[in-house]
Amino acid sequence: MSIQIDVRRQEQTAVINVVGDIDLYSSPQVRQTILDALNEKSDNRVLVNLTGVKYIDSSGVASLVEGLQLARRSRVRFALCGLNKAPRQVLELTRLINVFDIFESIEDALKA
Amino acid sequence: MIRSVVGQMAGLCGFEEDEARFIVVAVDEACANIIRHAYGGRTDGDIRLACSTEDDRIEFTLTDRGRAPQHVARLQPRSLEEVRPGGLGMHLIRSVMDEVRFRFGEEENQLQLTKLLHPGRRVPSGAIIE
Repeated sequence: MSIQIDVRRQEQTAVINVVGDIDLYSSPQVRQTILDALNEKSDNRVLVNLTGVKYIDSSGVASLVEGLQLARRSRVRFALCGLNKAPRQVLELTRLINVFDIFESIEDALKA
Repeated sequence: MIRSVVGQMAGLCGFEEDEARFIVVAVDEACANIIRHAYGGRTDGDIRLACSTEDDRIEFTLTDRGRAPQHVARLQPRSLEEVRPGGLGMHLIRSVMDEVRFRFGEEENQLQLTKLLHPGRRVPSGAIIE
């Protein structure tokens, strides 16, 4: 399954919308988009919207972790939203669920 | 495609939806590890996937003709105490599967992944997949 990624800016937040499976083939694209958004330094926050993601593997999780680490170094807030059951379970299995700020929806994240 | 087939096999064998999903993750991670390590990132290397069942288990055997790892320690899951990317795949595989066995040969490598059904449950007859 191919992946679709777009970045929209609202309320000083770069919202990265991902639709599709994040796996060995597509995770480099996700990773680069996250790192580019963080490196632009024009937003206070980067939010990865995973509402359209039904599957994520370890390479996808690694991309999110790398984003989180760069965000911390850059003093930018980094959060996830719209986690479906399977991606949430993978984050739980890797014991990384608690290291991310996670919101139900874009709206909830923007309000926080 | 592998994800879909593995998920269907696990479902046929009586694993519940969540368990089947975890099994898919484990087998997919195993394939990704082979592509990354045995084939050095090449995506055109052969990976043969066989599935067999017994009363209480499902077993996946992945065979590749790539290079065997020089350092078997690299195949061990890393500690998750440190938050960093990398090394998560093997942790996922070992978290999900009950047995993980490697066999490295001159011509091919094999990885055998076994998942047991919960005690008291058995693979339904007619769900034998070879």
